[in-house]
Amino acid sequence: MKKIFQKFGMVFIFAFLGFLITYQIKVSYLSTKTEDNTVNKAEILKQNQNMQKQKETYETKVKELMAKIAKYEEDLSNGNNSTKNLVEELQNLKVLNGYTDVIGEGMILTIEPKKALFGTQGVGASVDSFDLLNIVNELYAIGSEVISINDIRLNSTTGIRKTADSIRINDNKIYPKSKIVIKAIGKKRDLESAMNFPGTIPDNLKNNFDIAWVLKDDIVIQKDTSQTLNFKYAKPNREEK
Amino acid sequence: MVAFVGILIGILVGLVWQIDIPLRFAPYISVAIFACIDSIFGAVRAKMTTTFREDIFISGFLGNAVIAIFLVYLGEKLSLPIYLAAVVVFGGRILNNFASIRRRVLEKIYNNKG
Repeated sequence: MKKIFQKFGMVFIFAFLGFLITYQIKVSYLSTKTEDNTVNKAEILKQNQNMQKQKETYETKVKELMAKIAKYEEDLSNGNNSTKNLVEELQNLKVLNGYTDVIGEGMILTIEPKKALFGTQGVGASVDSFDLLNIVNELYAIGSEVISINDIRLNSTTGIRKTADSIRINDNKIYPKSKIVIKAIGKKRDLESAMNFPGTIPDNLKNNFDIAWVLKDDIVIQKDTSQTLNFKYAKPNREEK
Repeated sequence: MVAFVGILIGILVGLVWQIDIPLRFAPYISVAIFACIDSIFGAVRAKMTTTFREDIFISGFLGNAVIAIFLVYLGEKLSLPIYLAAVVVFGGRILNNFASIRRRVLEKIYNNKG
């Protein structure tokens, strides 16, 4: 009788161990997998609507731009020098305002939540909007020319701020518990040195996220024509001397 | 055999049962697993030296897990990572037991060959 109890005890104990290990692995796996699924359905629908609107805006803008380009090309073929300069200037402005794709040397910085099988460090941690602001600020300060966060291109009027469950950049949202990719075009060695400088990467990110960066010669940052960069209140000062 | 059956049952229960243990208990589970693994290594070693007793194993298994969980709890209350003490001790014991098991297995192999 005692033997049978002992056998049952053994089965129970090993079952308990098997359960604990399975549960821990499951939790660790799910905590990394479900981060992206936390967005509720209403939000997805809203995002879908926004994206459709954005798509329509893009299409009209692309049509307008294509027509403009065709006109400029026509003018250029006539050999008008002033038009040539105008086109160059326009091209430059388009790059500055994010209306055209850009390619160049730079750095891709990846911020990914730590995958912890044992312990909870990093599990459930989220990126703060100020952490991103700090990194972006340092990158601009070191000479980065164009920056994008999760393929959202930053321009002169971009704000990065915290909302209830996400970080809003332009009209897009990024989720602070999921992977974030920052692309920066600039002198790559300078960008790397900025990353190595103490304080560029905030402690919250260092402790709770896996931070990695690669330097590349052909980083592509997509255009963003969703932003209307027209000023309502600021007008050129005609009396400027 | 008993161990395999137990582990299989545990894995099945873990996969099927959608129990929601709060995330703050994760460190407790981690340390408890470590304590259990230590007991298993101890049991394997005892089995090889024919000193294995099931009642001692069961009480050690549960006792170690409970003490380890208590150390994590105490560490949380005192804001001291006391659980590290358990992790270091269990880690050391696991390695010692493994070394002993390895030695005995190799001796057995050589004896069979000789």
